[in-house]
Amino acid sequence: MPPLSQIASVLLAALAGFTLANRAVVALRPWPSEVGLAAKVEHLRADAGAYDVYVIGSSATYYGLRPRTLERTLSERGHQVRVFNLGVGGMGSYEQVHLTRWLLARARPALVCYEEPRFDPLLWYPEIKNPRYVHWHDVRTTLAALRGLRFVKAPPPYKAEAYAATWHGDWKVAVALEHLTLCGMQITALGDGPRSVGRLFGLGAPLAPSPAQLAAEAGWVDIAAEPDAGALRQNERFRAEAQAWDSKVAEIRAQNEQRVDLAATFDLQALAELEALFAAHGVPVVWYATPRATGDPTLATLAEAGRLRPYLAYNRPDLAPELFEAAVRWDPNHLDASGAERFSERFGRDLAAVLDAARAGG
Amino acid sequence: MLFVELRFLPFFAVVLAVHWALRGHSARKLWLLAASYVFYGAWDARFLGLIVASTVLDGFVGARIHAARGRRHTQRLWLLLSLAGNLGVLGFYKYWDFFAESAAHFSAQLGLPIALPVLNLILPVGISFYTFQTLSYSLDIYRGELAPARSPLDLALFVAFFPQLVAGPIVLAREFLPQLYEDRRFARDVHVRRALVLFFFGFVKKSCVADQVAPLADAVFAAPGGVSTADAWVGLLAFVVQIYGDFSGYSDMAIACALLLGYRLPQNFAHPYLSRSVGEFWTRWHITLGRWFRDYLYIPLGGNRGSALRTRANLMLTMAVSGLWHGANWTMVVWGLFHGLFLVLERSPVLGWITRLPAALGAVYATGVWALSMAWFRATDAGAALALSGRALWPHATESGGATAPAWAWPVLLGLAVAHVGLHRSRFVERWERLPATAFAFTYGAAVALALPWISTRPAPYLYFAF
Repeated sequence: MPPLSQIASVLLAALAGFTLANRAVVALRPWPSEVGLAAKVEHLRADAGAYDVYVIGSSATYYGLRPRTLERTLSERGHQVRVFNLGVGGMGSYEQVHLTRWLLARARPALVCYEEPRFDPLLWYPEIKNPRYVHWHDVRTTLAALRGLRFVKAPPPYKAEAYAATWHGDWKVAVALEHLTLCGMQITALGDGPRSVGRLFGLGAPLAPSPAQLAAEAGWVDIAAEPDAGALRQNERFRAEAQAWDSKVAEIRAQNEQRVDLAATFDLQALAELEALFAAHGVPVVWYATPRATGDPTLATLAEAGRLRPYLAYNRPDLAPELFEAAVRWDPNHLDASGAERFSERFGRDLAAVLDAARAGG
Repeated sequence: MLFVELRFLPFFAVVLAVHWALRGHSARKLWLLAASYVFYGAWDARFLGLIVASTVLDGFVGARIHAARGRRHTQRLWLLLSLAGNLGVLGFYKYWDFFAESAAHFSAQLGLPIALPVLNLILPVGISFYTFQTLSYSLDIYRGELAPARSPLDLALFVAFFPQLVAGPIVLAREFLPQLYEDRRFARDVHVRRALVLFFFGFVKKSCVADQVAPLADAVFAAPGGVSTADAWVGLLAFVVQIYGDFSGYSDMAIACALLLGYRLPQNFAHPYLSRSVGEFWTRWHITLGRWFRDYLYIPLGGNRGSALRTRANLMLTMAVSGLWHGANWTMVVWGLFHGLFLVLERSPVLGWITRLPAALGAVYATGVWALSMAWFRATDAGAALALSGRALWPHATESGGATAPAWAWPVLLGLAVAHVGLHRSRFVERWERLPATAFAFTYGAAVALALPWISTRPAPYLYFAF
């Protein structure tokens, strides 16, 4: 057997070679192109400091908050700011944390408006090994997601059977293994070669929204402008079942009335870490809930407990009935352009009040 | 279990560590046999019985043949038992449905319909490979070229040795058994760097090349009648790349795993796409199968010792059987005969001149013939094979519904061809192996990091596992 020192030097050399090449490969890897993510990142990479306020969240934000309207409403109330919509369709809880971390490393905005901090570690795409899910699974975010798994009570119904059929039969272990697999793929850039080379040679589909669209509307997109097949289906179904909407709204109200045991169901530590992240960068944060078709007892309990401050709740038909009219909705979870106008005006007014209060408080 | 699966790594790490930690030679062999059965059982434990039965049969028959030395008639009867047993099982699982359907078809043509049941049997993985290995054992004893295995353990391990159990290389008893008789020594028998390089290239060929180009071939073979001539060639050449990467990659990894355990397996591929003729191609492609057919079929048929006509007939028959070995389908028989025809023509003035072409032109010719034959190899029926061959050989435009190859297809295929030639010419592998240990480790680590992004996240199944 060769001496231990020789074995150690060989192993170290292999590790060094791997690490160097891996870093180079990872640096070339583009952001996933799904639903606005890469386009917005590329736009901000050029000049993230061009904006004062970011609204960051899911498709409800992407299609629902129009920066130009927010700017106008805020301006009318004495706040001259430039707003960017960093909403991304299908944004997951930890992806949002990951994107926020990326943003704060590049810009120091005057304010970030953060949609619904849920910390839900369940992966809901049928095919989870997609570039987008892989992308946010750095070690730190993966560990946070694994910790969040402790607070989940049941697997997503559509995957429960598949999880039960695994060799261990434990759905939490299955979800944890999914996260670890994605983390491994993220670290090694596994399978990312074609995308990286495509980016180098300018191949692949053009980014959407286009740079011109992004510049014109600062990240907002009218959902009716270029809807994908899924969005069209949702719209058709919503129109066909419009009479059921009133009962849905009543259901949302009822859900918002419920309360939960936070210590057992919510990762309070994750929220504290997110707050600490904003504090470390000296960036104030406003939490908000969008007018989607489900109430949220957890957010309601958090707000009641004073853990989300300031908190703008638009998931409450009793407080924002104008956002729950069927006429301004594209589907149960998304507003159309007129709804986005209403939502943005309302959001702008409330945000101005928050800023006024902050200013008054010194 | 696949070599490219994540679970293979811990499995092999444990097998390797325990193998070299054990002191006794027999204990090591016992351990490897157990590991081999576990490896195979991970596919489908039900068929382990077939491997054991084949081992027992040939162990018994081999001993009887050997004991009957000098009594050729008795030896022949025992050999017939081995042939009937091994080929009977292979024939039942692999060819029964083919035989039943063909009999029904031809008898109907003759107006005497026969209805044999179609059983839709699952083909035990690797059966074509290990059956040929066990047959070589009995045949070599019959020919007086081999003594029976010294112990049942040696024979069982020869048959079931997991690196080559499911897809070759097809090892002959006379080259493997002697290795089992001698204790393995790490310093003497293991060339770590060669094994690591072989495994790496095997892995890259399968996961980064074959699986990445597979969708190009899939698209063309899914609708062969609608593609343009250029796209037909993209599909055929993509499949040429895929089948080479897939099979030679597996062979490389098998040889590497065996080497780490201290055993040497025969080379199975020698840059076949650089061959100058179809004849040369068959000395460089699936070498161990070609050797088997040469030693146990072509030469016993008379080889090239008879008249020119007899030699040609032997070649055609051998290639037809080779086609049938690859799959129970008439398209495979046509594929074999297609190659047999070129082998015959290259031995005649019609195509004899081709073997004197410059190397590059010869390689284009031989690879082109191979690519055209892939239409028969992969197509599901003769209609699809003829359609694709027609699209490739006569100018056609894309028709409605036909696949269109992406713009990057040709640059990628040409790049792979250049890399293939470049790696061979530069003797890259040999140079890499000879680097000082630290430099080798550094570059190996870097190579792994550079390869991982090219692993396909949608791996295609091994093509040769279907055989």
